[in-house]
Amino acid sequence: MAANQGTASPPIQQNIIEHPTSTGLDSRKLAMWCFLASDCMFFGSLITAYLVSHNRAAVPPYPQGFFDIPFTSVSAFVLLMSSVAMVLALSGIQKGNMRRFRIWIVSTGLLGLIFLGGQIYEFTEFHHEGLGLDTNLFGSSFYTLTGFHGAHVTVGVIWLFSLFFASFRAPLVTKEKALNVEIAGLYWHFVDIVWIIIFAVVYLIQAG
Amino acid sequence: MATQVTTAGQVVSTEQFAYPKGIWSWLTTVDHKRIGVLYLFTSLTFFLIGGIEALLIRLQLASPNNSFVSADTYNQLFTMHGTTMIFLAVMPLSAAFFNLLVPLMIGARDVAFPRLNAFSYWVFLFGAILINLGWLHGSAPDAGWFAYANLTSSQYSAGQGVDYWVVGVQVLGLSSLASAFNFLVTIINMRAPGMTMMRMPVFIWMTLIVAVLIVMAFPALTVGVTLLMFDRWFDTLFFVPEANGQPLLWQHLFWVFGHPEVYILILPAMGIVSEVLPTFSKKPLFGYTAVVFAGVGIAALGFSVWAHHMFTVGMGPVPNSVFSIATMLIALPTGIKIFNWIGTMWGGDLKFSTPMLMSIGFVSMFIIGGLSGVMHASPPVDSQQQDSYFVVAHFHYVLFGGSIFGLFAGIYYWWPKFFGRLLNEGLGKAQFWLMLIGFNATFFPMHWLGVIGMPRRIYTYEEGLNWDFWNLFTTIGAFVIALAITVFLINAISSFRKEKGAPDDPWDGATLEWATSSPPAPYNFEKVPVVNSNIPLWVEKYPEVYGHEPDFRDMAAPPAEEQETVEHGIEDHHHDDHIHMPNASYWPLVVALGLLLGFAGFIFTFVLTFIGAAVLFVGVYGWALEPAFGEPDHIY
Amino acid sequence: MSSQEFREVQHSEHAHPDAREYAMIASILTIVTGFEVALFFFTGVGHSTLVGMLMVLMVVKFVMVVGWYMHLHFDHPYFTWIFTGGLIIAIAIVLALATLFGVFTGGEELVRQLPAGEVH
Repeated sequence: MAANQGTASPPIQQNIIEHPTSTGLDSRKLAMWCFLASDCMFFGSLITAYLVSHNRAAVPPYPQGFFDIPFTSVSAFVLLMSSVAMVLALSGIQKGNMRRFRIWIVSTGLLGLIFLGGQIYEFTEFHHEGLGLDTNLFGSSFYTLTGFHGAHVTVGVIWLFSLFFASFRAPLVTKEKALNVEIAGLYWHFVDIVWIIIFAVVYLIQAG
Repeated sequence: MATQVTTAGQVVSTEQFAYPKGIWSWLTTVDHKRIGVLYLFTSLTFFLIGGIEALLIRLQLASPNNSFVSADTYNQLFTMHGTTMIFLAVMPLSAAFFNLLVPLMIGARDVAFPRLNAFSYWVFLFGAILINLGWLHGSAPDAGWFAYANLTSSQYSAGQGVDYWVVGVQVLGLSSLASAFNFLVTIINMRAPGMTMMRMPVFIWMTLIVAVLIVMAFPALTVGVTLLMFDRWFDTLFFVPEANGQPLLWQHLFWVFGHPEVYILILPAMGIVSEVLPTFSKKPLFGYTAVVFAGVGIAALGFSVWAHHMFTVGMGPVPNSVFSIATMLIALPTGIKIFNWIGTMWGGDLKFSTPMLMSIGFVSMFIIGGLSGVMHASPPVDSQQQDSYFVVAHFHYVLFGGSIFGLFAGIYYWWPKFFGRLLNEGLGKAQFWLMLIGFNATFFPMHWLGVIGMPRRIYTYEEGLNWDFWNLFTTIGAFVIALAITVFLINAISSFRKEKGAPDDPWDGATLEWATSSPPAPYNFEKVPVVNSNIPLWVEKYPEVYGHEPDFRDMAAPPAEEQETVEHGIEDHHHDDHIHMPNASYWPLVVALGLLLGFAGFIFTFVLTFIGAAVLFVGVYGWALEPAFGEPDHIY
Repeated sequence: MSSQEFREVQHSEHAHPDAREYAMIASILTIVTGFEVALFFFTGVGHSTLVGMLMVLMVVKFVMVVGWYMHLHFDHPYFTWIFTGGLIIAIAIVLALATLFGVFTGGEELVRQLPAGEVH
């Protein structure tokens, strides 16, 4: 697609590509999008496992009326807001404003941590109410699905804080290398949209 | 508008790019050709191991009521034979060709992510070792290569055998995914100037399609195996019927992966054959565009047919019909390819060298396997054939008659390119004929055995069922195959005792890899070539024949002004006289080791898992902070 | 997804959302989430209507995050193709499996558990 070479540089990609590519797009960003496409299938399969299993619980607790919706709504909101912080961090570094970048990337990470704390609290509560991994199919499929999402969030939080600390070492996170932040951002937003789906499909839509 | 494969006038000092020597250089290599060679020899080793397992199976079945191996050992043998051949032989053998050929064929210096490429290999090697560790323990996996739940539950597979399978397959999946992302991006993004998508060699197209299939199919396996892991280690209930769990969920998740997997196994061989047939017919591939789109069609349909492996589980008439129709539709693109291969040979100046013979073997054997496949695409017919030797015959016709013949065609065709030595033609032809005869003697009678009622996966059978003769015949056939493979080993080993001296272009090939030296320099091309056709070397060598853009490739030629852009692009970017080669790195090995320990912990002790996680953590940071190219200042 | 032309315009102008636009999207997302939660507590609609509305709201949020925060709306169309390609395959397989397992028709276990009344 050599014909694309001239036109392909997207507005938000301000770094200089050292090795020209056939599409003009950065290879790592392309790889990240391929990974996210693949991750759709990963979460798709997990959601399938939840959908076909959760209503087959042989013993209580059952999913209907089990969730603490106000609490989870706050978690969902926190994760949504972390996405806003993420885009602001990206726009900060793209403009070379390191202070703005650092403030917002730390905010993103902290919001992620709050979400994780919420999840740990939620899991503990559910466990006290008698729902374990091995209690029934609802427990197995619920913890597996949300647990893998939580694992994705954890990786994301580590990544975000790594970028924050790396920004103090001159050549690692700079305006010219904003793409490093953008790629982390893609991953982070993806984790967010997975939660958008889980929030609706698992929490809000219950059979009943 | 002749193609320019520029190789002259280069002033770069190439000495600094000589291959380093020693074992450390192999452990830290990120060179796609070296990684390809590692893949090649590792997968050939596992091909031999899987072959030995097959011979033991055949010895046990040679006569009724045989007790050569116990029922238990037999279960381990057929499970590991299937798992080994699919995950440790055919897939990595295809990966060897991806590694060796993709950058060369698209005119690149390496893949998009050289370190990720090394990582894929090490993870593959470790996964392969992990899955085979069970043999040392006396309990290899024994639940069949598709590990049906709930046979694999702790209740019915209490031993560690299934643990090795679960953990090993999980690790191998990660390796496949990593390499698929890499080749996807490499093919989209690293093509030489002028190489539009419709000028890519068909092998590259098939690699691209396989990468897409891996990227979209393997997550289903990852999830399925994860659920199984959780069931076995953490007492979840996904596949436990007593708690309302559904073993059927495993079958669906497995085959959502498993059917695309079938195309992951066959499409690379189809790509190889699509390169070999034109070369030895002295004709460009007939209907290039049709072959490419047939491949795309196979991939697209490949995601909608998985449940044809499950016609007998009682999904009901409507799902059975839907999956049956979708399955039969696949015969269309497959048929298109076969007609195009025959069309390529038709009226060609045929030369029957070993790669050509293997390719013709591929086409003819694959037709037989394809036809029996269409038979059990019909649910009523499938009900008769399910779990019988007819099915065993079918998938060996596509996997051995198809993939293995195709891959051997590739081995004979590209061996001189990468080792600088030609394989012996006489031995090659002997191998071909022995393999063709042995293969048909082994697998054709299995059709009859299946139809007269012999189930697969039984470790022995009674006398007087009319199965004795064909079973013995089949066993003899298997040893003829073994002889053929021995001939290949002799051929391969003796080729290394010869002096290097294979010509750069021994077969008069049409694609870019033949424009490099044999073996190619680490940087592949001194100057990045400019491509104007999908048979660039033939256009260069035979301008009187291919000098004018042939009409069926006109669509591939960009209009004049874009052409100019392309050439300007080269002026701008590629007259850079520096060759940037990626640095060697041990971090991929470290990260792969972390993964190995992490997963091995599930089998041995969770302490290992924590150590593995720590190694992984350090490894990922080491990797991220290490410059991929040149000086530390150039890090992204 | 939105029109090709708009994307082209965005390309040529090299425009990308500023902080204010991001904040605006954030408030829309917040409102939609609030609406989702309100719907959950609102008992006036039938189950299938509720599910339909929640799915629509979910898609709205999804598209906003992917289109704006992940910049697919402004970025090179290749990224959109890659991502939506994967997404479509994944959705198709989830729907097919859910149908095969009777998720939409209400399996027998489901019927057993629920009090008399609507299953959908």
